[in-house]
Amino acid sequence: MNERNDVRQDGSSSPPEKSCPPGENLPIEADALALSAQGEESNANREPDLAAGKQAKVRVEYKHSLATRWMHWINFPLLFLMIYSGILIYWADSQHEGLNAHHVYRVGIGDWKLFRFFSWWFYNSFHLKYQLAQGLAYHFFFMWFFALNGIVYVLYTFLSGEWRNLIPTRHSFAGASHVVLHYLGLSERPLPQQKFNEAQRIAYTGVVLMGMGSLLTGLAIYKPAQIHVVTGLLGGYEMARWFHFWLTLFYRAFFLVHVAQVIRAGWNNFRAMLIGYQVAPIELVKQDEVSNG
Amino acid sequence: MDKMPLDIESGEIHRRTRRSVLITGAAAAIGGGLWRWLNSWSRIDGLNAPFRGVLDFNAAIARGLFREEARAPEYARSKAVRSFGRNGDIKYAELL
Repeated sequence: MNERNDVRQDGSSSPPEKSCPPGENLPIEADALALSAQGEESNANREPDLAAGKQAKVRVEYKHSLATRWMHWINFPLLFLMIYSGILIYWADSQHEGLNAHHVYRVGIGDWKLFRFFSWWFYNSFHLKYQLAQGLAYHFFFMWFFALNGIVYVLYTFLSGEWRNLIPTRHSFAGASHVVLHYLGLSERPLPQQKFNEAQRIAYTGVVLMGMGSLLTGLAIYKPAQIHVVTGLLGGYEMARWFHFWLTLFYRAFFLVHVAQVIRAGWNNFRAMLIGYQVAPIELVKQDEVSNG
Repeated sequence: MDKMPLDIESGEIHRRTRRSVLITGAAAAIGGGLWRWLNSWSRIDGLNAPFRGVLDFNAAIARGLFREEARAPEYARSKAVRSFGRNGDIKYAELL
């Protein structure tokens, strides 16, 4: 089970790029006890009907390439460091709440303010105070790696053709609403079998666009005089800061929803981001069996 | 990219999982080590050398991309804000 999908453990001469014909190689057998020992109880109903045997087999689908997995996991600490260092910078702005008039980092309109991010307990609890220079240094150091990782990911996605699974289609918004209703228990209609559902297409493409937005707004803040055209197009320096900050808040919202969905989907789904493969849902295996007679 | 499903021995899944978890753990340890290493350098003007070096690198890029004699855009007085944001005055008292 390497990246070329060509390993068979039973030493049979079946073509490596094709699935085994049902009945010849016991394709849907696997060791249920061993799998459940890895904490897959919550996902057991999604996997094949398992039975122990000498040649226990399990059907797997290739989900994430090695490159995607590496870039995904590299991005995780980089995004964390960018947000962390951003908060170190932001603390300095919070020093003069009255002076800065809550114009950027708040929820409100005009002179009316509902609340401002963040409270002092937040800075005190996480030791985020008096580190402006350090925050700037971290931000301007790790921005290179964050940007490079993002650019390489976008290039890879397009060159590999993976974008076809990720870019929303004209049906995606209707499909995404069905996904949301399904997960809220308001729709019993099953979700279509596809690599990424419509809500994921929108979310994963959206977060890449957000990354681009962060780079652009970050540049507009970093060199507002030199690239004033970009800063001006964003609505000026203050608006560029506003966009930059709110994009970060949306990252956090994305992260929370993403993690919640990963927990809900279970170990089988999470493991695919580690090993690349996901044990096929039982519905898929049964459908395959029927279609193959 | 979208390869056909394939049938493998269940033990292979476990072996791959163990290997990936070990690699992930090793990568996390290397990342943590890099973080400590970056912050262990001697300080130049208050910043650890690698971070100071990258700030200098960024400045060199900016000098290469933008002409220093180019004028910043000018705006009408009416566009001036009443109160401008500033990043605090901590340490200023010591400098002045």
